[in-house]
Amino acid sequence: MNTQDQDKVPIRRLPTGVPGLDEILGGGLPEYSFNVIAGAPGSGKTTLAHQIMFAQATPERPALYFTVLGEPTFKMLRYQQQFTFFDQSRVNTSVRFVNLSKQALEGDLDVVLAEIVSEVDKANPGLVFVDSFRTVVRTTKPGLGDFDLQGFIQRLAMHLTNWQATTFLIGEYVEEELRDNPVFTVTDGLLWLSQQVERNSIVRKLRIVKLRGQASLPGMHTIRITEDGLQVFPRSFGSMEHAPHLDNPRRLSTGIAKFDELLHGGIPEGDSLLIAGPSGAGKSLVGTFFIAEGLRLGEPGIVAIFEESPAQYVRRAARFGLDFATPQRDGMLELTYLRPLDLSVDETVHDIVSTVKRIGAKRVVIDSLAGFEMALAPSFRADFRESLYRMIAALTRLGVTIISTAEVVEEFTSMALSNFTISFLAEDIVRMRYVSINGQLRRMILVVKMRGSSHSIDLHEYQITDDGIVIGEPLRGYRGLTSGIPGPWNNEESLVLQVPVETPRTR
Amino acid sequence: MTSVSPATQRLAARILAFEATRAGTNNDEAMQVCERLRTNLSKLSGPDAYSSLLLRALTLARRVHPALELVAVQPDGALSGLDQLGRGNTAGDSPTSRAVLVSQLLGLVEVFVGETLMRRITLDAWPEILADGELPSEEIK
Repeated sequence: MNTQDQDKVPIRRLPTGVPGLDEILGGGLPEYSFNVIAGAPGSGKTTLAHQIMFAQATPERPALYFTVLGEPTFKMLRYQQQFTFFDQSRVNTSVRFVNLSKQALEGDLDVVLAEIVSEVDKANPGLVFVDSFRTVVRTTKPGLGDFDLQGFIQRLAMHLTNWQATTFLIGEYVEEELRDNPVFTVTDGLLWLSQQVERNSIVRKLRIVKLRGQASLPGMHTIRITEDGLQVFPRSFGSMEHAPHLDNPRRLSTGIAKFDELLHGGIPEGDSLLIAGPSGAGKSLVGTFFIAEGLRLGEPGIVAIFEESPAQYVRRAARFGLDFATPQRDGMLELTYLRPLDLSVDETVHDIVSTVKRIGAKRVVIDSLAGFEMALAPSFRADFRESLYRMIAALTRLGVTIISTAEVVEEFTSMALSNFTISFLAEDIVRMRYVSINGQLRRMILVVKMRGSSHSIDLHEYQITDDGIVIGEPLRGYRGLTSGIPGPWNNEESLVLQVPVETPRTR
Repeated sequence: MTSVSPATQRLAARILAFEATRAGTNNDEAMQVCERLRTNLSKLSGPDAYSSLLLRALTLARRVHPALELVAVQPDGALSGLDQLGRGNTAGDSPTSRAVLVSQLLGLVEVFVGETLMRRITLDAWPEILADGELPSEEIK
């Protein structure tokens, strides 16, 4: 610490009580700051304010909540007490409500200010809320200019700061006002709530437009309002955490011995492996065996499924002799079924990351990316690729090894790696595809890339049997295998393929 | 009439009794109760909200006690006409008319914010009762 650092006044950061918000704020709300919570009607401003209030208020430093001409107080209390954070026993002790409608209707800002100052003087609050501050301004007498308004806000800010209160003005504002509204000039912090409607889905978001004195996390962050109040899903997904550095990562067996051989020993720990292929190629099955092998070795796993229910997934695994019900019961396996159709990537990742931390998962399967995309609200699909990048980064940062499956539309002229152009976010890529040989539609698997390590470059035929995926010998003597319609390498060579004879499972 | 729970009726009766026996007051006990509530509820929800709540309570109470027609709510939320209200001597009147009015008022607050918050808000207006521990503990939620 240098001398300059030692001389700095420490600014205490107050926890907001809103999951995820403190991370976005850079550690919490600066004490004694003067803030605005802005947004459109229904965006969650009042709920956010109440949540912060109940998190921070104490009998010694209570919160004063001034209501003006917005939602009637009784109705506000009626609705807010439905949230779990609303502790009725703290009303009128730690949390006090004061109605200013009479003073506001007089249209004189000085009267409003005098009342606020008087109440603040009596209560010695640590937190002050004015809801809705917009209505205070709207009730002012005609002729009041920006200069008068700015003067009022400055006096209000000065009084409340001098009284050592952290203040929140709550109001309905539109984005266009951001540039020249005098309220925003004076405030230290500006929290902007919005909701976006697209087709049948509604997505709520929060943005820290401004926060003096500390570095907040930029961008729009998804929020969800549940019975517990607001929850914020930071876009960083906990990006402050450092990825574990593995000098010589071990290889994780996929549970399919021959596949491990193609990968030259398995998937490097901490890698993200993408399996791309058409419907029915067996992509999900590879993921299932990967998880099963982990469970066998005592490594907890997570499967994020989007296209079938957990019960169906467990039943399907059982058909291959894999018991997923027991590890599910024992907390070793979590099947996360995500299909509400208005999810954000941030929420999905939050769910998965929380589960990884909770059960200490080492292996994660995302089955499938197409299902994941479909589960998202339409407004998030546009950013799917970028979101996916952040998600994979967040998960690999935790040290887990990921298999994602991606369905591709099979073309018989070329071999796409996925429909999402997302192969850049996978260290390792495996492609499964159909090939037409001797009047039969057969299956072929190849390792396309493994970042930083060697792998087989052979194209192998495989079959899906009752025992799972059975990988055969490399396909020799063909050209154009990757197109799906191979021809003979030369006319003399036979086109007849050998059916795999090995049963190389390690189970 | 809005159904008021027995517990809320008991609370109304208790604060009326407290005001009736309070030393140094010659005013009507219902007037005293409503004035205290006016101060606290107006601060909480605004004077207009309190006035309309009291008016609604009065309307509901009149259905049981027509004599309450003599009582009115002033624009500032104060009650008037209680002095003309008998104490069980006139037709339709009974000693409980005041209790019904106050019960209805508390009952309305309860309808909107629930029993726990209604009790908390009400008893905040009577710290003496809380301090004396004159209410059974189960009534103070």
